[in-house]
Amino acid sequence: MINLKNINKSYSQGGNQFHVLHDINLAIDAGEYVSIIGQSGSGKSTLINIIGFLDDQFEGEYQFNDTQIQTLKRAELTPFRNASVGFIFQNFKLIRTMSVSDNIALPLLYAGEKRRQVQARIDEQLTRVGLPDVGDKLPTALSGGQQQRVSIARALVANPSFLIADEPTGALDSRTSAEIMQLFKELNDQGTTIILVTHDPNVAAATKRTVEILDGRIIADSEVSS
Amino acid sequence: MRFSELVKASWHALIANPKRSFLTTIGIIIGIASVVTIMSLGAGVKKQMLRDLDTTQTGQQTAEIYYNSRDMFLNEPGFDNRDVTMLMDANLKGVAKVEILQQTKKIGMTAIINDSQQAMTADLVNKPVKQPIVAGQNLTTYDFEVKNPVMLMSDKLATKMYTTAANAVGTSVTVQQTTYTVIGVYHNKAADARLPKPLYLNSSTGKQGNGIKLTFKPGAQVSVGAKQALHQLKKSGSHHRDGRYEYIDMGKLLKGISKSISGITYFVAAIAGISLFIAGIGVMNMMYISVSERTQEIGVRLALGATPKNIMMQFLLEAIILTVSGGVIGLVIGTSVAAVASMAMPFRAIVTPASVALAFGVSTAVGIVFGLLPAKQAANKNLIDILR
Ligand SMILES: Nc1ncnc2c1ncn2[C@@H]1O[C@H](COP(=O)(O)OP(=O)(O)OP(=O)(O)O)[C@@H](O)[C@H]1O
Ligand SMILES: [Mg+2]
Repeated sequence: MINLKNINKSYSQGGNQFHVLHDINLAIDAGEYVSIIGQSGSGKSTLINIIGFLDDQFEGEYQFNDTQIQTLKRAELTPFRNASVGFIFQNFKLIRTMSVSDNIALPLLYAGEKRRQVQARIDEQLTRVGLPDVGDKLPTALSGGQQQRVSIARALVANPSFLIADEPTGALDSRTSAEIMQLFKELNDQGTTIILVTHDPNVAAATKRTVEILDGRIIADSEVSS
Repeated sequence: MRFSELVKASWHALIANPKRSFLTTIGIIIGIASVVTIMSLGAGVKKQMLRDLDTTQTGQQTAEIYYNSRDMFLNEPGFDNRDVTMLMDANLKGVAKVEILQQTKKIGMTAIINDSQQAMTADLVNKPVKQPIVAGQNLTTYDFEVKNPVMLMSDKLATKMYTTAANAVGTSVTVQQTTYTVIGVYHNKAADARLPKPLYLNSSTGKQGNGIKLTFKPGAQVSVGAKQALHQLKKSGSHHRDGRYEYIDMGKLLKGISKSISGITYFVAAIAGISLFIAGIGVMNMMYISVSERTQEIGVRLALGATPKNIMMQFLLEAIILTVSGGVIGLVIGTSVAAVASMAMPFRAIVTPASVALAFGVSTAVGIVFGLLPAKQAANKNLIDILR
């Protein structure tokens, strides 16, 4: 599904080119559950932003199913991202002035649907993440773990090809982290492709495949032995 | 995203911060309200002037002089045939015709009842009116056809003059040399008597009334002739000792008001312009603050599928909803202020489609002009930088 060939990425900073990713080659199939680990500043977020179509400024080839991503215009990338990826962020990034349901509705609204017609799908996802009754609450009324569940529901609602999670447990205590990892495992068992970035070896150990990055290079790529 | 959903999102963001949103609109409200007020007053006075001009255009320039009795209880009409003759003989400048404005409904008169002089009010009617009759009988159609000098007396006056209603039936009342027979007593609080109108108006004493109408020759100066007439009446009018004559020069009055309104209009327009400009800067400021406060929200929306155009529209719509709400509130306030102000003026304020269009047009324009830059800034934010 995801096929990266010789990806290089540089940030330009005040005239200097800062080379972050070096010749990345990575293939991920549908249904996989992958963790990306590495030191701070090694380029994990940069890589995952490219995989998630957030960043189209890179060199190399990114083939997603039958599409060559590097040939798409930015205006074409947005609907593509909307339909293919679900994002989960470290600090949840729920819009605080909108109800939980309204937050989850956003990807569907940006896909052109009417708010009135999507409530059933929102409720379905809330039930799936174990929060069937919080739709009318504001995100601030929920605990961190609950907010992360809501953001997982938001990532799932448009039925994307894969989920991307950058440090999904970074803001949670260990017990809540374990609960979120349990939810990810269930989702993966149901067929959802998940790619997550983490510092936490316990989190990485709960996934099925680990890709390790050091200074912008992949130095290890292995199945997790269970 | 659908336009309706964009509008909802914008509205939602505004009411999430009601105080700030309201404070930001105050300048718009004041600006629009003052423009609408002055426009409504201006339109009102123009319409009134046009109505007055109409008579001029048909060649029928007229002026009216009114009489006010000094004695509140002696409500005899102030003009009769003597005044008409006197004014016609006076050769007033430009005056072609002098007529008494006859009172045609409820009038005051002096009558001789039961051998004593009494002030009395009477309804003038053209046909019999169904009425509870206390004694005697009602007026009939036949009475009107043959001009029978008959009348009804109210129960109140009847009991005052003859102690009972029945006693009054068959008595007679003399009004201006015509003697009417009381054929019935009816229950009424508003007037003392009911007289057949044709008979009363054609009675030999001629016409009477509290107003007189001067008709001018085409092209004559109305105020000159009217003032001459006023002078004559004050000197030798039939009732000049008992009351005052008054001529209101409507044309002049309205012209004066219109002139001062158009003078004020420029002033108000200037104030409103400044007010709207400052309000616009306020809107811009609030939108910039809102954009920077909501950077994270913008990032999330972009990541979840919003196009930069969606983001720009959302923030632009916020600015427009804000200013148009201010415009609508301003329109309502301006309309009410104009309505209250016109109570003290000889015309009624009118809300023209132009002022409604102006309220919406100007407030929308302010929203677009001052919302555009912040909205563009929101749309141009770099997604990767926001999400770091
Ligand atoms: N927008 C940017 N402009 C310039 N330099 C950047 C930008 N984003 C990241 N970098 C640099 O690129 C390198 C890799 O950053 P990245 O965020 O991918 O690291 P990371 O592995 O996710 O680290 P962490 O674990 O701390 O999140 C860092 O040295 C960072 O300073
Ligand atoms: Mg990172």
